[in-house]
Amino acid sequence: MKAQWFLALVPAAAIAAFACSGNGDDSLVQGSGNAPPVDHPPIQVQGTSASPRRLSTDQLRASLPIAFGNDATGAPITWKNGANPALSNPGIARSLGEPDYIDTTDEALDPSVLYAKFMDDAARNICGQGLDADATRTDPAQRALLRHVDLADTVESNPAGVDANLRYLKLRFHAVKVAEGDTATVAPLRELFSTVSKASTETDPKAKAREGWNAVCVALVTAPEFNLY
Amino acid sequence: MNFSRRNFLQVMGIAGGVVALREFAGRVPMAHADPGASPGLFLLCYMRGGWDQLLTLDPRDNTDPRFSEANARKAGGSGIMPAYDMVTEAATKTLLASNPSGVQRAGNLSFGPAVPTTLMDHAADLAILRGVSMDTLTHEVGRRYFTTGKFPRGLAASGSSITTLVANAGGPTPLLPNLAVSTESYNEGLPSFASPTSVNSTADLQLVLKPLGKALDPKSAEAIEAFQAKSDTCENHELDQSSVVTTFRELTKKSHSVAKSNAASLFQFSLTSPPAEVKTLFDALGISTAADLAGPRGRAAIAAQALAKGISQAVSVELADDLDDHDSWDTDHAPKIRTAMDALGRLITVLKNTPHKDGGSVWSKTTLLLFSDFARTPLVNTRNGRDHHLASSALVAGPKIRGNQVVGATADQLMGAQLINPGTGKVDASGVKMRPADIHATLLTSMGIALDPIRNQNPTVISALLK
Repeated sequence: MKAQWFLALVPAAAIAAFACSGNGDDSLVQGSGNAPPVDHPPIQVQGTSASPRRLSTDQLRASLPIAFGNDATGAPITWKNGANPALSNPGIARSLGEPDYIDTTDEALDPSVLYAKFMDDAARNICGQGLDADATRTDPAQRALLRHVDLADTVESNPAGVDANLRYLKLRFHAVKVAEGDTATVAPLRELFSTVSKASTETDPKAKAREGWNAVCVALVTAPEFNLY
Repeated sequence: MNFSRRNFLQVMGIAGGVVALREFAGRVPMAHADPGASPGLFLLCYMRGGWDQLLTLDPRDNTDPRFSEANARKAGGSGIMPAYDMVTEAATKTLLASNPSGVQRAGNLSFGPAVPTTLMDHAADLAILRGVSMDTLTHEVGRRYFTTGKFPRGLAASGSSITTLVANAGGPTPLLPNLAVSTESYNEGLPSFASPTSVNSTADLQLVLKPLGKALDPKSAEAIEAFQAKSDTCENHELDQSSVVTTFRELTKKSHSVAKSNAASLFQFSLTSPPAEVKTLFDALGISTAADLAGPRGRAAIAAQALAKGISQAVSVELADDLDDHDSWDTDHAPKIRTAMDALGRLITVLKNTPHKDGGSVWSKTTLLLFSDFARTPLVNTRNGRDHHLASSALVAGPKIRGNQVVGATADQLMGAQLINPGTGKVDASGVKMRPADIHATLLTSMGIALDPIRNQNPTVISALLK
């Protein structure tokens, strides 16, 4: 019985791998780097890479302001605990494993419960800041998060705009380019946006939509694609 | 069956999940000799800076003529000055008034004059290891050697902390399996759940255990968790070659349970209006001031809650800092030792008085190791200080450790480490020297944890310590 299951899973695994492989074998890289002599035969290099690991504390410090842009006053958005940058808090930085170069010199970059917990804290904080900043900007092109929708848009009122914004956010946070006609990839995010905005107890349509986009933003920032590379 | 890509990925997700969950939930199998058994709890106590053995775990009779200053310093003399009469601490002076030798006895154990009764009261459970050969006089090396049981590479720690090994053996269930309170702790090659959570204070623990900032509406939070649970993207599959995505998702799920738990309230150590349970803990540990909370007693309180409330499998805690008394040993050393050892004694009492969910007390499930970087010279230097000395001591206890005994010894001349017979624990000229690696091997064996991580140190299990 076990053997039958195994045999059933082998082709399944192959198909699943193909389903996610895009345009063929991505592990093969051709001709990158310095060009060989013109008469050199074609080179096929087997791609190798380090094991995936999580963002370091320093990378978070650097990347959050880039991903979220500036707040309404023009200051870069970063995770704040109260009024202070959370990643400058020694307790948080130490708990995230940042070395102090007195007792420790290496930063453990495997994911941990604490890292996941702090990213959840960070996501709730920075997504709120980002949406607050966007709410002050009338020109969508100036917004960091809501670039393809109006503030009160819903899945029903502007399905194309919501999908376009979800594709944009997927690219902004996960560096994943979703093709314009690909509605399946953003479907779970669309469902999350719709569920949360509809369940919101707010009465203002903009506030309802804001809760939906906040949930989408938190989900994207806490996703493995954002945190692992 | 409609064989769509989505169905397929679901099947693969389940299959992959089973494999990956085994990876996540399963500890590194070599790390536990009996995977079905719990290793119990572990308490690693550290006293920073190098402690004076004469004042603590390896005393000498202050009235013995061999150890007078004149006989200690003369050529061919003992080279050992207890010098208890130089100590200015009131408690030591009081003790010497009634007991001029300065050596205190409890059961089969003897202690120096700086050890308080709060610790000696537990002598029946404790084993003193004397003549531990540290093979280094460098603070970082000694500290890291005793933390991991492996001699460091230069100054860098080698291997995982013993607390990490215990946390790995215990599995990922506790909220913070490996809690490091003001101590160094290392994870080399073991699953991330066993990595130390490093804190210095209850404020740090609040940061760790409480959600920071504004909470989401519960319905939003629920929808996000549902999204995370079923999220399945090609990018995740590509990244998940070593199960890191699966692990990350499990950790995310666990982080939600941390945030929803009331664990943070266990560490709300308010001096003004502590909850009844915390007040009881404060009374037991003698905590009444902010200085108490910030010092060894406060750190002992964190360790007590973490072990007693099932938050952690293993806790390491620094009970004394700045013992590096190259000068002013006569005024500074004894009070710091007494405060630290008093905190430990009181902590043991708290653990003895706290029932464990599986029966018995929390202490009855706890293995203890108390250590310092190394020892201090048996001769007092010209600045009334003591310098670094190789032959140190340690204090151990545990459910499978035979207490009320002394294993090993230092010589009565120059306090050098003596070779021992590991079977009897007695001095044996043809025996072996006792090293931190051997102590780790013995404690790991007592907890049923395999010795693979420290095997390259060729450790000797000191069977005299085992029940």
